[in-house]
Amino acid sequence: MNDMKAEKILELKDVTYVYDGERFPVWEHLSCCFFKGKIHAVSGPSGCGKSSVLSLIDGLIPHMYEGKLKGKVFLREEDITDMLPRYRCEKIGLVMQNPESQFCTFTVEEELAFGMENMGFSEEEIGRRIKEVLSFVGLSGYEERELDKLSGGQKQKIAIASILVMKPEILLLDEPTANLDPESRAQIFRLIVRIARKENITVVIVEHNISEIIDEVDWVIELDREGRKITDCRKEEAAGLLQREKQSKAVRILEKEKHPEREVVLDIEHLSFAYPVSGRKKEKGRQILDDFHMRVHKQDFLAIVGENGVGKSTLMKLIFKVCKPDSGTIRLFGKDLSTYHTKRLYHLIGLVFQNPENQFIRNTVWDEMMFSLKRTGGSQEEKEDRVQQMLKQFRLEGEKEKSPFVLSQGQKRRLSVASMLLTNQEILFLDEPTYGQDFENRQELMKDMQKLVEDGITIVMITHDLSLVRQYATHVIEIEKGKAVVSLPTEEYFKD
Amino acid sequence: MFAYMEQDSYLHRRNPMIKLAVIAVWTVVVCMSYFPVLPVLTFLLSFAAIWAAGKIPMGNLLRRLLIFLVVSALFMFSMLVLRGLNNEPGIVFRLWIFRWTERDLVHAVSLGFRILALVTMSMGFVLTTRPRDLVLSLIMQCRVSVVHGYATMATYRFLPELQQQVESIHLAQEIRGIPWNKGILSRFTSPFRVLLPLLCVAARRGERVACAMESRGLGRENPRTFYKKTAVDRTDWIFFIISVIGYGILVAVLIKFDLYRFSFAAIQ
Repeated sequence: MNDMKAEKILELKDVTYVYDGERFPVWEHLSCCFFKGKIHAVSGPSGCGKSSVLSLIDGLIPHMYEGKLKGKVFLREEDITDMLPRYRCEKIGLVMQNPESQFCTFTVEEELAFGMENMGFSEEEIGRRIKEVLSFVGLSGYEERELDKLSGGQKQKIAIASILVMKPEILLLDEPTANLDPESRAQIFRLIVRIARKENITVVIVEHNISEIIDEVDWVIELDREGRKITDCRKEEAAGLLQREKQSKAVRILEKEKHPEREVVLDIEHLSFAYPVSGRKKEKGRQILDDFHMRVHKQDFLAIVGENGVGKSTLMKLIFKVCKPDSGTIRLFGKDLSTYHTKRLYHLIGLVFQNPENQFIRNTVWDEMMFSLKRTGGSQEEKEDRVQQMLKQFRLEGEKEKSPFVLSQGQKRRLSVASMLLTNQEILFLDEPTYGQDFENRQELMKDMQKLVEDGITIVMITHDLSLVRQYATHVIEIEKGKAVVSLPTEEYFKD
Repeated sequence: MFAYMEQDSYLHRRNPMIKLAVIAVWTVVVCMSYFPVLPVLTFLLSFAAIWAAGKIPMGNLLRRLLIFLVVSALFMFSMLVLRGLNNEPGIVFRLWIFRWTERDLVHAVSLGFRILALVTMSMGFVLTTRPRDLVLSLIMQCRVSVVHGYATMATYRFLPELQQQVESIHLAQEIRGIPWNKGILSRFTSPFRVLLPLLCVAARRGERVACAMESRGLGRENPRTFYKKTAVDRTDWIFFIISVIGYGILVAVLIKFDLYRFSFAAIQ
């Protein structure tokens, strides 16, 4: 089966792994090979153990994430199963999904030097390699920059560079573009291709936006829901996966009747806002929103897109009265926003946060839902019926006695949405709703949102995930430099 | 508030351990003073040193200290109110139902300025010490293990993010109908409501950073090198000696003029 003519560099032989506290293995009797200088894509549905494959290769399984491992991992015929991750880093490097998670220092130079210092490199060698790798990732001269002040794309480049600088033979990437805007995503993909083709480094990538890199992938490993391998072959032979990727490339606009007469639920005109300079309340800093216009109709599924830092999250803060606009008007259901009491406002509009855990307060899913109805009218029985109905709608009936914090990522997200809709909110705002969610959970969530739109709710979603925008949104607004530069129906937005 | 501020100054160039040692000596001495002159002078000296030798603009420093000035003032005020209700002999000042002895006044002002002096010194340390230098200094000068040193740095790195998380949790809970910090009950219960989501975030973050550091070779048995190093040079020692001896002379002068007491008992 593994008939690629390249040199075999890594092999997983008959591996089975059960996480501590779990009854079922993440995968059973899994065997596969990886080849020198090739790009391998690992795909599969939610929870099939894709990221666990990377953790196994890097040694985090079983040395950091405890559990029971059977089978062997071979690097160039050498059994490295018992080797700790800290001793594998000369040959194997792992880039995590969120670069913030792996940074442990403050500046670019410190972060890049960290691995080499641990390996005992001389100061001269460290300095030389830092210059080399920064030039490779296109960030020459960034040595003294603080990590916190870099953009999302730059952070991901530094995360990759901090591994590349140790010159590993194998680079493992866990959804490296999941939280990036389209331009940064394209840059990272180009970088990954260059790493494999020019540096002859073996790349193993878990990535759901694989459509952008599919032409460059050499080998595809696909796992099914139970973690069984269903595809392990050259890209050309992986017909099923390619078909699905092509489908995601295609524009699939939600078939929806056009109702030009639909009620305007949110109307923003000439909105301008700048944050005050830190420590000087009267002095304003950079203009975040500048003469911004936006109109949302009832039952719109609106997507707000744009690069990091263009003002998308600030817009949410203004709509939720967390900040006050410097000028301009926001009208909600025809009334000026300033006339709404916040309690009434939050009963009309809901906000689902990037991190669903932030909004959890109670110890069980049931209490969490009941909490949202605590200050509303109606009898206890009516409230319980409402919660029961929402739990059913969001497929959480079986989890009502569990703590919200122990639910799966998909369940947590559904709970956060459900609790924001309990008082019949008419507009639901979603701030990067697919952040940290795997492909299947994203699709599932979007389908739930689509149903809500059909039921009369208006959805406004801030996202970077253009593939989801294509699939589900009805209208797209693109923000650039604080202005809505494009406002088009999805079909027209993706025409070019 | 407590964050490093990039400057090229005399204090910025000093070794973190030496600065900590000076602060430790001054702290011990000022805590033994039961008369307000030394705490007041220590506060003024620290403030002046951070401004002049640390090149931290005075307005900026005052803004950072404002909350602590208010806290100290409130502390002194509440102490005076409580102490003013006693009925001890030797009353030197009366106002309405309150009566104070000299000891009451000295006690309140000494403790208030002691807090202020300690906060100012700590703030000066944080403002003029790069976190990396502190960790390197802990590892190289104090022989703290590399693993613990970098764990400290990772924690330090997480602190600003923690603040953002707290703000995000506030907003999320407010939208769910729990007014934040409105009313006495809410002020008491709000920290507990933040705690669980925050702990979840911190635990997950800690685990990921530990994995990231392990998979980049932290804890290997081979000798570790350091791209940037911290050392204690002659200027650091001179700074230490002058600071300690100078402070010692100040204390001696105060003792000579009976302005430094080791106990409130001596004050009537």
